[in-house]
Amino acid sequence: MLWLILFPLTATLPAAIVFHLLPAWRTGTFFGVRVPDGFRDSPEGRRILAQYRRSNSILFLAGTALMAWAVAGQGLWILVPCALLHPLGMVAATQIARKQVWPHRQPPETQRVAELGSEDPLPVWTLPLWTLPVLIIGGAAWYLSLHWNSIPDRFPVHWGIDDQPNGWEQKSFKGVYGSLMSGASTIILFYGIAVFILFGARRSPGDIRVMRATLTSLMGIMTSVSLLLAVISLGPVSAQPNASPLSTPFVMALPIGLIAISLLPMWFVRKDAAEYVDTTPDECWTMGNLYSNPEDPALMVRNRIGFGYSPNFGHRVMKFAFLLMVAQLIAAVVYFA
Amino acid sequence: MKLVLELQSPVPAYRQITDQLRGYLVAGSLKPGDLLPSVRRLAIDLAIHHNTVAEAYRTLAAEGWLEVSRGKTARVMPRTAEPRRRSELRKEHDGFARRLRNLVAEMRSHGLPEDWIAKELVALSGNKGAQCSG
Repeated sequence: MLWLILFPLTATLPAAIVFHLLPAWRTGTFFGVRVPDGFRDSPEGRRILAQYRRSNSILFLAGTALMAWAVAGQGLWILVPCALLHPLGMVAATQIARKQVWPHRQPPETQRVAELGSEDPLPVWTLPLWTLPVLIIGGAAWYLSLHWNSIPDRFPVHWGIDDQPNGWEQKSFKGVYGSLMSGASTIILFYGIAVFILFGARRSPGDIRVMRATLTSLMGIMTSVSLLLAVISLGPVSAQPNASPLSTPFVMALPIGLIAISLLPMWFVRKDAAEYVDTTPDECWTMGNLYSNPEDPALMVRNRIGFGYSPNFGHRVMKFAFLLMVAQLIAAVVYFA
Repeated sequence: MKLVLELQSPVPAYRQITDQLRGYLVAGSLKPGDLLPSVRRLAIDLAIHHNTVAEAYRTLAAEGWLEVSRGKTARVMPRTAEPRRRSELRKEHDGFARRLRNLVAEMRSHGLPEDWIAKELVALSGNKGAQCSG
């Protein structure tokens, strides 16, 4: 019975925490709109934030209850829409809040500042750390190839809440290396994002520490994901190939852990925006966080809502990269289907 | 060292960049051998077209301040004054003096107090770096 509540909570609670924090994360913008100093603390600002957070609480409770009901025996087909209720509802709540903030927006920034000889956002000593995900995935693949003969002809790859296997795979290249291949595909994508941030985002005053924090988070996520998939891939060569390589509480704590990894470095620099000047025009942002400006040479720009960076979909390099990413996704789906 | 671009200024963007960089070069804040950000990097940081930055770098390269490589990186060059005839210098002086008078007139028309303008001119004339301009 406890699982029925705990299982949905692993998905909805981290999302509820993130949605709660998002509007307060950045100074200078409020729901993706540049506002004057002090607007957030004005009666109107507080009213909009309270309304948004009320929606978050209601949708969190409703989403968790519906997911528990779906897990209790309604089947997977109903679980997916139940899981989507909270995030989709919050997208709508954000748009409502954005619409209310829009009349209070500031005129566009008329000054742009660049630092001559800005410090390097990626210190040389951190470079070896960026090889960790490749070493982990490569190491696991190498270990599997060395122990190929000890892999059973059929082995489990998925387990239920009761820790009993419910998904099986044959001993084949795709079956054995599948999780590592999906891990490699994910970290290639993350490397691409890191390169775009490093070389294609602004390094104006106030940007460097945020850029460093974002890159640190990316590296943390990449390393965690590659570690996780390496552990899963080594299941068939473990002493008990039928047992789940990861305990259920660990799997349930995983999303919270990953979000903590990604948020922590950014949490420390969240108020560091005093010097930062957002030069992106309000009109180039769709739904508050999708940026498209063909006249901006930046490939990535600071997010308007929350933390991190958004791609500039108006840049031709980013359009090409996005198509490449979609092609990679389709290729992966076709290969593993 | 910062480059500030005023979007509402009547002065074109490439000229604003050229003037500020020249200011740093004359004052000695940028020394021979120093590397400037690449054209692409500065264009991203200022959110302007890379041709605007390239034009500013080309202007300073033509004046002998910078060496711009094919990869669009710019290095500060040692700059020595060429020996010139006094009549040539006099002609150039007259041109600069006219521009300076126009600028002072513009400052007055904006209502800036006389003592502020005078103080600025005295400070500029006392700037040792200005004598290095060749």
